[in-house]
Formats: sequence, structure tokens, C-alpha cells
Amino acid sequence: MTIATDWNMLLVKGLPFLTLLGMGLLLLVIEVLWWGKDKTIMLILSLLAVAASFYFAWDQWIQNIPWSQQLLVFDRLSYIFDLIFLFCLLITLLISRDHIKREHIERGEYYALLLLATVGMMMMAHAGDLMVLFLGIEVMTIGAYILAGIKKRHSKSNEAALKYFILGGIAAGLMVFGIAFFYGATGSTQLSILNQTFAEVDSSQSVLIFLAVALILVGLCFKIAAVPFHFWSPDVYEGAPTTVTAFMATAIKAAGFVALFRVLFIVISLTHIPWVPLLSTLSIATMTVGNLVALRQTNIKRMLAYSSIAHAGYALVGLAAAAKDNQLSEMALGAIVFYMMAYAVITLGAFAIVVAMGHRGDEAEEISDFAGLGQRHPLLAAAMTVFMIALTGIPPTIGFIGKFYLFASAIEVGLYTLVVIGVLNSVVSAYYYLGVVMTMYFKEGAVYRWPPLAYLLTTSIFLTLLGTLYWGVFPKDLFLMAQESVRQVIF
Amino acid sequence: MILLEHYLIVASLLFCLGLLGVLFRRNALIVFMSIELMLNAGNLVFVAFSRFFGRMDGQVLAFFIIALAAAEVSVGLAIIVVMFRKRGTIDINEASLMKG
Repeated sequence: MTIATDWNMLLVKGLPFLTLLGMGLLLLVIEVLWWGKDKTIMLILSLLAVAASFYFAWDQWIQNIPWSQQLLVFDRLSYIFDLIFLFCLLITLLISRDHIKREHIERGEYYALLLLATVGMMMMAHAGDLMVLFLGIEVMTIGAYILAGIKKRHSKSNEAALKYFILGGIAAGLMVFGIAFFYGATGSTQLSILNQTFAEVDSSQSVLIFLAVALILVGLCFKIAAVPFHFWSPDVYEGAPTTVTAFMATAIKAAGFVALFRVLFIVISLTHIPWVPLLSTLSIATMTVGNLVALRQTNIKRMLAYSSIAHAGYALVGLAAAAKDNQLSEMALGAIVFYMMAYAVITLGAFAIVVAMGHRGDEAEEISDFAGLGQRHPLLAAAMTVFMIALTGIPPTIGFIGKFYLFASAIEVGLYTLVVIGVLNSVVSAYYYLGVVMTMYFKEGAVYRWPPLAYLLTTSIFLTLLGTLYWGVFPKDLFLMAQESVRQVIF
Repeated sequence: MILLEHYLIVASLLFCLGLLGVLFRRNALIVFMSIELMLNAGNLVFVAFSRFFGRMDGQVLAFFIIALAAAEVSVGLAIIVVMFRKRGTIDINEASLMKG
């Protein structure tokens, strides 16, 4: 078996992640050679790489020439996820600057690892082979382990890294075992070959394949933190530096979903697995547990962690809708892609504000720290209100539009119960999201002098706020883009 | 005569041992060893099937997993060392600052 590769084509198509990879490695070299204390150059170089990569991915998305090199595939679905990851990376870089200075973790590795973890995510989005998918996941998570534990002198950060590592290790073990059985059952790990061989699966193979699918899906459920594989995420999100948490809650979650897409595109044709009941149950469990436990959180990072679990549950509603009739429907998939963008924009905004609230050695992590923000810093409070409203799913924000499309796609295929449970869950979530708003405006807080907001932080809050409101009022272009992205998926 | 089934049974046993080790042992080093056991069970399945098919690609995949396990363990050991310096223990039950 030989793979003929058109290297020029691969170079051009792969520019989005090659740029980041090159810059990530370069930053590591600079870190060793550069004796200066000031790491501004690292931030500037990272931002340049993000800009270049964004341009290349956008260009490829516009050109829309699907191409597959067996191990890697290049279609609009992968490029749109590249763009989502780059947006998350951009905002994370912007909010990082002051935070990591304050926390004394400003090192070259921080920037390099963020870039390299994003390369892993892009590998997942472009995976045409289960092994590439798995390697992408590991490149991403190994970066994330280090980032979670980068506050070396901080017990919580250390603990977060340890827990993330152990749970990530279990997920990796499950997935390797699953992929190995896939290889045994079909003689290949390439998704395109698996797609052909699944048509003629006989019963002796089907046990192996069933086992393989189960193991791989459980591994991926760890990555998107679906209940009952979610228990690591609140601890990791709380312990990791806030900027890293923002990155994990948005980019890694989106990466988990694109990996799930890539696998489901293939295994969905296995008719003996009841996909819709399976995904519906997963979705109901995930959003209900996420929301109910979020109700009694007092730490804002933990609350956002449970909220991110709940949002994965909403996105799974779309996946259950998409899985109807044993082929993934375009409308529901488009709705999920749109939801991933919406969720990323809003959550990054909320985390930017949590970062903005922090002081040296005293991170504003409790919800009660937000008391009185309405009087002390009206603009910041207003922005936080918008993000909380958007997370609840109230118009005119992008959060509402995202949920609307998801639930509409589920109604289209007749999953009424699931939609009712989803809407009830949104109502429950209003209690804790709006609780933050109540705390900001109606509770008296300690009066301390407010440090001037950093320039980059303000920019990122402004960008996410703009996205939340603009796309909340004019969602059409973005939604069409999401729909276009899932139209021509190749393996 | 050693058949494919035998390899698969050994691999499954290794995998279950690894999984039980991760879930029930409390020493961080043993937990890491158990994770390695799970990954190596996957390797064994790859190599056994590769041999069974008479092709080399499964063995190449096993090399990828070995390299990756090495990367993972180097990060993991670093995490343990930091934890040991900080708390003087590597019992993962002690890592319980955050709950809820």
C-alpha cells in the first residue's frame, strides 16, 4: 500500500497549521536564545502567526476545492473549524498578556504550547485516518496538560494538571484499544476505506466493530466532557490559569466535536447501533446534570465549567437530530457548527471578564466577587450581562440564534421530547446565569480602587461583545457559512 | 500453536488490568504505569493483527503509539515531581483541594 503524495498541494493546503507549527517551534528556540525579560516579542510573533494562518484558512475556505491525501483531508468542514480554533487562540492570546504577567507565568513555552496545541486541534479537524485523529488529540492534550499546570507554585494548578493527565490517559488508552480493533476488523485505519468496508460487514466482524466504536466514542466523550465522562472538567477548569481555562472550554471542546463528526460520518452507517436513542440519552444526561450542578456553584470558573458541560449537551441535541436515518443531515450539522462558533464567542467573552476582574494574587473567582460591579464599573458589568444573557439563550444575542437553529433541526426530524427537555434546561440555566447579573447590580460589594483595564483585554472584550450582539441580530451570513461548510464533506 | 485469539486475549487482559489499576490504585506512579499498560495493550492488538494480515502497517502504527506514550509519560513524570515537591506525597487522594 503506497500513498502517492502531491507535496506542493499538501504544502499549500496545509499552510494554516504549518504556519502555526513553524511559529510554535520558533518560539521555543527564541525562548532559549533570548535573554531579555520582556516577552512582548513572543506575543507579537504569535499574533502574526495567527493572522497568517487565519488568512490561509480563510482563503482555502473560499476556494473550496476539497482534496484528500488519505491521511489528511482538506474540505470546508476542516477549514471552518480551523477558523474557529484560530479565533479562540486569538482571544486567548489577547487576554493572556496581563494575566500571565500578574501570575508570573510569562514564559515562551506558554505561547509556544498554545500554538502547538492548536496545531493538534487542526490535525483533528483535517484527520482522514483514525490514527491521525488520535495523534492530533494527543498533541492537543499534551499541550493542555502542561498549560493547565503551568503555575508551578500553585497547588490547585498542579492538581488540575494531574487530574487532567490521568483522565486524558484513560481516554487515550480507550481510544488506542478501539482503533486497534478497528484495524483488526477492517484491515485499515483510514476513514475512506472504513467507509467502503462498512457496507459489507458480516456478523463475525460486527462484534469487534461494535467494541471499537464504543471505545472510541467513550474516548471522545471524555474530550467533550459529556456526562458520565465529565467529572474531570470542573476541577481542571478551576485549577488551571483562567486564560488556559478559556482556551480549554472553547477550542478543545470544538475540537472534540469535530473529531466526533469525523468518526460519526463513518460509523453512522452501522445500522445495528441505535444512534438516535443513544445520542439523545447522552444529550439529556449531559445538559441536565451540567445545569443542575451549576446551580449550586459559588466559584465562577466552576460554574462556567458546568455550563460548558451543559452546552455540550445542547450541541448533542443537534447531533441526535443529525443521526436520524443513518446519515448525518446537513441542516443539523450546520446548526452544530454555528453553535460551536456562538458558544466560543460568548464563553471567551465571559472568561475575558473573569480575567479582567482579577488582581494580583487574588483572582476574582467567586461569584460574590462580582458584587457591586454594576456601580463600580458599569461598562464591564453591562458586558458581563450581555454574555450571561447570551449563554442563557435570550434574544437578541447569538446564543439565542444558536439554540434556535439547534432545536429547529431537532423538531424537523420529530425529536419533540428532546427539544422540550432542552428548553426546560435553558430555563433552569437562567437561574444561575442571571444570578451573576443580580449579584453585579443588586449586591453591595467591597470598595477598592479599580485598576485601569488593560488595552488588549479591552480589545478582546469588545470583539467578543461585538460578535455576540452583531451575529445575534444578523446571523444570516454566519449561518450560511456554517451550512456551506458541511455540504461537501469528504473522507 | 499460538493463534491470533491468544494475542487478543492477552491484550484484553492487559487492558483490563491497566483500567483497573487506573481506577483503584492511589499511587500516582502506579496509575501512570497502568495507563502505559492500556496503551501497550493497544500496541499488542495492532502488532498481532498486522502479523495476521501479513502486512507491516499495523506495526508502524504501534511505533507512533510508543513515541506518543513516551511524550505523555515525560509530561506526567514532570507533573508528579512538581506535586511531590509541593506536598511531599504522590498519593492522588491527597490531590483534593477542589471538590463539588
